[in-house]
Amino acid sequence: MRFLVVEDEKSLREDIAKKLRLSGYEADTCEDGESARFLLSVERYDLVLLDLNLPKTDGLTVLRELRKTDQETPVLILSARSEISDKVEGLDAGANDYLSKPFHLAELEARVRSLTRRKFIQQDVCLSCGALRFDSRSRTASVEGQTIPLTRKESGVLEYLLLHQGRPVSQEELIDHVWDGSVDSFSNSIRVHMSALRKKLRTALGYDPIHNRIGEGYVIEGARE
Amino acid sequence: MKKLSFQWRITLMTALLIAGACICLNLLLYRSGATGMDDLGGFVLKYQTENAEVLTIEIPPEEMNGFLKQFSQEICDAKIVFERVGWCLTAAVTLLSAAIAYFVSGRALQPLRQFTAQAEKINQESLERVRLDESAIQEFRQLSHAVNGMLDRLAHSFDLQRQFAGNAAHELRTPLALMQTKLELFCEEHADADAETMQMAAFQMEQLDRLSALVRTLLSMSNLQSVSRTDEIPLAPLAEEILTDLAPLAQEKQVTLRQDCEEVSMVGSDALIYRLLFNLIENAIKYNKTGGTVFVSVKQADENVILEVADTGSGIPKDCMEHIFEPFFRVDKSRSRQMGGVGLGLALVREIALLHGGSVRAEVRAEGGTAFRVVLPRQQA
Repeated sequence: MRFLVVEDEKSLREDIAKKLRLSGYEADTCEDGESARFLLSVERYDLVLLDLNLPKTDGLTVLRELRKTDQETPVLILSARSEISDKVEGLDAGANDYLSKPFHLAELEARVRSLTRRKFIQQDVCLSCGALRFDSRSRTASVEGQTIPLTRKESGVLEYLLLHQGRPVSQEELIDHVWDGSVDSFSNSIRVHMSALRKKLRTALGYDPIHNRIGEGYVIEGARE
Repeated sequence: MKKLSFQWRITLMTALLIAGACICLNLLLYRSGATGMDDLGGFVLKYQTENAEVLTIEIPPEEMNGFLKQFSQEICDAKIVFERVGWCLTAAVTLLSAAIAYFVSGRALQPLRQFTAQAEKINQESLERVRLDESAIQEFRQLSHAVNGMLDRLAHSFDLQRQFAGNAAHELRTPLALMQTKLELFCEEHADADAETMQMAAFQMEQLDRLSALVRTLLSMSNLQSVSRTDEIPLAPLAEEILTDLAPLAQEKQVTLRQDCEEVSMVGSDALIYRLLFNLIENAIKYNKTGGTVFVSVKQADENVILEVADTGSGIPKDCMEHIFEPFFRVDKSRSRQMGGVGLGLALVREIALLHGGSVRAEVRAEGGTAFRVVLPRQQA
């Protein structure tokens, strides 16, 4: 798979590219908005890692331009701005995910994996995270063969989180995809179902695999060693 | 005299002035009136003696003495009546004018009252929003202008202070990101490095994490003002979720979590109220004794909601109580550092409470430990 890393800070750009290569991906790099636009118009990438503060043309403009012709290529924004409004603006402009600096390379890798494997994993019937299994066909969750009794909403939430492992899923995103938009006071009912689900998983697994990152969303992770 | 209001001062001064003027006027009038009457009397008496044969008044000579006595008595009486009426009128005019002065000065002082009301509002609301009306009457125009200028400068310096921390934190992010990536990449590429190097790298990484956390908190504190506070927040599910978030930490510290939450909701920023309650409960668990308990309660009281987080920890020394909400204040420096805190948790709690028009207070519990009490209005003004 081939990625494009757009970042003006030389050292950071090279380190990210190096990390991606170590993980088995191909990585092209460029340092300003103009060359990013050029590369994106002539090459096809599987993922674009885009900084927002770029010389010549800023990241958001590059993103909007790309989205005019290409809706497919996933874009992950890497930015030193972390205000909610900046995040919303980036996602509205067509980014698929947003990671604010400073970040851990492991986190970056998890997001990258989440953004690139989505189309493959969706064909997989059985989802898993650590000892937790979820069968999308029978819609049952289990740990070591023991079924965990879940409500319809709880199964929906768990399935969605498992499909997007490594990336925080916001409450708004859950409403769009799990609640079929038929929800009144959103955070209220999501919180209730989420808390119930987490309690059940904690009892079954002995730890809580779902973490709530304030301002970002819920992430599902395997047990930490 | 100093404690009298302006309106009463003006009234009293007007009354004194009018009373003085009236008394002078009265005395002068009385003197000239009395002299006039005496002259008149003298004239009549003189006339009678000089031209006795022309006067046609038929007064028998034996009654003449009696008449003259009666006549001067009449003049004397008239003088007394004239004097009394004069004094009564003086008193009446003085009182009436004082009353009029009271109401008129009240009206004339209206702009001053409006001015005061405006100035009082500055106290309650934020510095940026309120300015005095500069179209008031002339005397106040200059004062308003001066006060507004001062407010502008104050607001500006508050802004600068707030933004400085934000800007500094922002500028720190890129170098932090660079260092973090470098270090992580190094560890990955040199997995076979010697133990000392790895230990060093692990230490650096730990400190980098702390710096990043500090930068994030500083940034969120400097951005508070721009956060919209229009979410409808049901508090019971919010508390439930925070307790779920913190259950692993509580388990690790062997702390029992108890809650008693009413079905109350409030309007505000969901993320910030979440952060407020999260910080309070996290602290209550972290600084609790092993086997302790944390009580969380949410109650409604009229137009307010009251969030209470109580622990069974060692408590906070009395002399530290008022400082615990200050940024970077720590009761026990070495202990807090071990816990990995950055010393901004409670400062953020207070900022969020103030931003929502509420307040936060810490109390020593009779049964040991500390109770934090946050009062927040249910609706945003």
